[in-house]
Amino acid sequence: MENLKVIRTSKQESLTREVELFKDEKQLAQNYINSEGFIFEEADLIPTNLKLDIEEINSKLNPKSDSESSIIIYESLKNLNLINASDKRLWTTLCHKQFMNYVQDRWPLKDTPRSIILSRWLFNGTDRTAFTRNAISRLWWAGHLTAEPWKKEPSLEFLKNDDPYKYTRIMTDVAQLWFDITEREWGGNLIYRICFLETFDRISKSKNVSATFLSRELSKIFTGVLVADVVLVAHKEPQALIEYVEELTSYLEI
Amino acid sequence: MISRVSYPNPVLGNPGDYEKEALFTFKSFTWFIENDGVSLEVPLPSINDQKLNGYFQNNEASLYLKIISPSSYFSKIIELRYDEFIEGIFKITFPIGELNKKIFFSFYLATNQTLTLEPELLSTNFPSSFPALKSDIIAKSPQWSELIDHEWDPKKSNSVSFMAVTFHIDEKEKETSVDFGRDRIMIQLPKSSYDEYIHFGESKADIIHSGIVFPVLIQAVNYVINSENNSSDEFSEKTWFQRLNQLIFDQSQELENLTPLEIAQKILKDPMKRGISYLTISDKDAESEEDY
Repeated sequence: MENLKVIRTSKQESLTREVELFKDEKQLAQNYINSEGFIFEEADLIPTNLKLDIEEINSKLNPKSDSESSIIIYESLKNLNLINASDKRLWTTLCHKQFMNYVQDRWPLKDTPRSIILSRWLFNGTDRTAFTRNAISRLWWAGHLTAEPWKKEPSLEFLKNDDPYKYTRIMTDVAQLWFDITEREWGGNLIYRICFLETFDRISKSKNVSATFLSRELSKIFTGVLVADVVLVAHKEPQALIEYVEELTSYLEI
Repeated sequence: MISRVSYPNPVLGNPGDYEKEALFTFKSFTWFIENDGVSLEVPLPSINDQKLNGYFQNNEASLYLKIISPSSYFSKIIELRYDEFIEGIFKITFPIGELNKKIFFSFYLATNQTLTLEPELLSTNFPSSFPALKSDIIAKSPQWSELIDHEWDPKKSNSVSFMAVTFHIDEKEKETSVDFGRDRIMIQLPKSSYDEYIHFGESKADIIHSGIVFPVLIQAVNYVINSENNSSDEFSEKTWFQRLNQLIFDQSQELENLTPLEIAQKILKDPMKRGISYLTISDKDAESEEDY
C-alpha cells in the first residue's frame, strides 16, 4: 500500500496546455504510447492520505470490462469523499502514472490522439460530462452512482439484491445507458436513476430490442414524465414509477 | 427569460397565467459551507396573491425545493411544509459533497389535496376559479444558482487565487497573452520573462498586482458584468468566472454598482497606489544604496 501523491493544479494546467498546443499530433501520440508512466517532479506533487494497493488494482483492471474495472476502482476508493472525487488532479495523476497501462489499453489513441488524451487522460468540457469521460474517474463515479442504492434510500429497499453492484453492471455494460443517465438532469436523482435502470432491466429481459435503442427511448419517457410532474413524481413511490413507465412503454413501439 | 411550460392549471410564475404584479419569490437565502456539509436557510416565500399564500399557510399546499448539483451528479426534491418553518426559516443540511461547485435551485408550490382555487391575481384569460388535483403545481419560482466552493472562501482566500501567471509553451512567442478559457485565468508571459518573474518574491506583490494582475482583472470583471445582460456568457462555467461573480454580486453589495475599473481597484485594494508606493520605496532604496 502506498500513500498517493497527486499533482498540483499548476501541473494539471500545464499538462492540458501542452497537449492542446503540441504541434505534431503523431509525436504527441507516441509520447503517450511509449511512456511507461509519467514521471512527475517532487515539486509538482502534493501528498495525500489516500492509500492504494496499486499492484493489486492493476492486476484486476480489465480494459475489456467496464463493470469489472468500475467495481475494483470503486471498492479501492470507497471512502473517497465527494469533494475529493471531484478533484481533477487525483484522476489525472492516476491516469498518467499508476494506471497508465490500463488507460492505454482501454482507450487506444488511434486517429484522434489529442481529443482522446484531453477527454480520457485529462478533463474536457463541463464537469458533468468530463468526470464520466476521464478513464479512471468515470469508473469511480459509475460505482458511486449505482452501488447498493437500497442502503442509501429506504424507498428503494424493495430492489435489494444479493449483488451490491447489480446496477453498476447494468449501467456500465451499455454505453448509451451511461450517457443517458449522466447527461440528463434527472440522472442526478438517486431514485430516478435507479428506477430508470430497473425499468431498463425489466424491459430488456422481456422484449427483444437493442439495448442502445431501449435506453434512448426510455430516457425520453423519463424526461417527459419528470419534467412536467415534478411534484407528482416526488410523491410517487419508486415501485409505482417503474410500473408507470413500464406501462407507458407498452403503448409505444418498444 | 422564463420559458412557458404547459401545466394542467394556471401556474403563478408561468408567463401569461397570472397578472404581471403576481409574485412568488424569496427575500434572500443563506448558505453555510461547513466541514461536514452545506446548510441552506430558506425564508418563508413572498407570495402576494393572498389566496395562494393562504393555501400554503393552511398546509393545503406545500413548498418544494428542487436542487441540482451537476458536478456531483446530485439532484433532489424536498418538501417544505409551512408548519415546519421555525421562526420563518426552514433549514436544510446536505451531507458533505452532495452540493459542489455551481448548483441550481428553484421552488414550486403544489397542492396537498384536491382544491378549488380562486386566486386574486389570475390572468383575466382564465375563469376566476379552477379545480386542482392533489400534487398539482400552482406556483413556480425562477431558478437561482449558487457557487458552493469548498476550496475557496472569498472572505479568507487570496482574492485573485483564480489567476495564474505562466509562460508560453511556444518559446518563439514574444508577447504576453491572457487565456480566459480555463478554470483559472492564465496570464502567459514569454518564456524569458517568466524565468525572471519566478524569482520575484512576496515583496514584489504590489508592483505585480499593479502591472500584471490589475489590467487582466478589469477585463475579467467586464466579462462577468456583461454576462448579466448577455446570454452568450462563454466563460460562465469556468471556476474563475464563478468565483469573481460571487465576489462581485454575492459577497459584497458595495461592488455591485461600480464600474469594472472600480471593482478591480477595490478587489486588489488600490493596486495603482500600491504600485507607486513600491516604486517610490525602490527609488529611495536605490538612493540610499548610492549613498554608501
